[in-house]
Amino acid sequence: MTDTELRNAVRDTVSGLLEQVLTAEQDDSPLAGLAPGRYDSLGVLDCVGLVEERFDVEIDLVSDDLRSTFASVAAIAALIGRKRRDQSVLQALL
Amino acid sequence: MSTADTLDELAFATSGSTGAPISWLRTRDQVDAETRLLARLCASGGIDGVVTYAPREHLYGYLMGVALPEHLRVPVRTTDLLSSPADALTGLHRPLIAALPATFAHLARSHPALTALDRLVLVHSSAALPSGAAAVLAALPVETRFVELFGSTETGLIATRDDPAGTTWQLAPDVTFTDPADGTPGPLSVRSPRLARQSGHARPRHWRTGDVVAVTGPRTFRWLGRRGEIVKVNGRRIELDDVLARLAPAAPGTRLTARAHRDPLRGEWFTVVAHTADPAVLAAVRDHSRALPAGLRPRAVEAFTEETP
Repeated sequence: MTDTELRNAVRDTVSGLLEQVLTAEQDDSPLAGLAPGRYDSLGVLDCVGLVEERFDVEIDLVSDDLRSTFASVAAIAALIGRKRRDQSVLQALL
Repeated sequence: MSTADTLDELAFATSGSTGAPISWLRTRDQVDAETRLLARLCASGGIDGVVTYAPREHLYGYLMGVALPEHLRVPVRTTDLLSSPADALTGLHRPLIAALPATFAHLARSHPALTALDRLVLVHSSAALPSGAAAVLAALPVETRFVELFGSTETGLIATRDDPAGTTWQLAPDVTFTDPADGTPGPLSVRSPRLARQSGHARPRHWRTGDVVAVTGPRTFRWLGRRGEIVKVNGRRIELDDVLARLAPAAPGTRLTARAHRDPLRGEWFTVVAHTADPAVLAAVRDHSRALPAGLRPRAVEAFTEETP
């Protein structure tokens, strides 16, 4: 999956959660501002669960600061990309 | 929480955000009695601090985040779902965590912050546990004692249990049933020296909660459910009729109903069902629901179908 494909998939996932269409132009916009009634702290944890399920990554709330890593579509995609790269490196070492 | 009618009373509002707020008054002696009770039930093994997710303006949050730490002379730290628990737990070895339903999802993803603890007391209060709570507790990387509190702003603590998968609640030592035990389902009615009163009213001698229970012994009961029009979303009491009344103007002439269901994060949530086949009406209700305050929003707005439960 390319970075663009990943970002599209994240946007699709978050759009479904928020029940509103998000465009690529909104990727860097804070989700709390785009959906203030839905993307509160509970909404962020909903999103964490969806991301783990859909992208097969584990979110660690001790090292992954949710205020930044789940602030926008772009930030979530960057986090998933980093975790997948880390997973690849680990698998290569095993 | 605020001081109220007399300097000897504290006022706590019910935790919901719908309808007119109702203040319930309890004397400082009642609060002190409840605090001592909680210390005995939750902290008898010794704790060295409290970490709380519960807002202090409500009774549970005040007791766990103010009164109990003062009574035990231990530090208290407030945290939230977007913060790492590692920050709040720094320097603590035997903490008590005052949880809300969503705390379980938070702790499940925070194991590195818990591994250095000697032991943990996890307290949860008066809301449906998330469906995965027992598994989360079993997987925590620290010896954990679980205490669940059953009660309300009106009653204070009524009962406790220590098994998240269990069904039996044990009355608090100073609480008794109003009705004799016969094992049949019925409303929960209790006597307690810690019942609150409304302003302008005398303190009640007994209280009937909105819960349906089967009294299984002199001091035990099984919780069977709550009267249908109330849900507790992450511990916050929501009157479903009030939510439906707010949505009604979006769909004149259309019947709206609400269906409560379990939620893996919030414990409980609800779905609004519009009894219509008109997509425009459904869209209007959905738009209206998005404009509700965050705490009142349904998980979804659905059209009634043959498959609707």
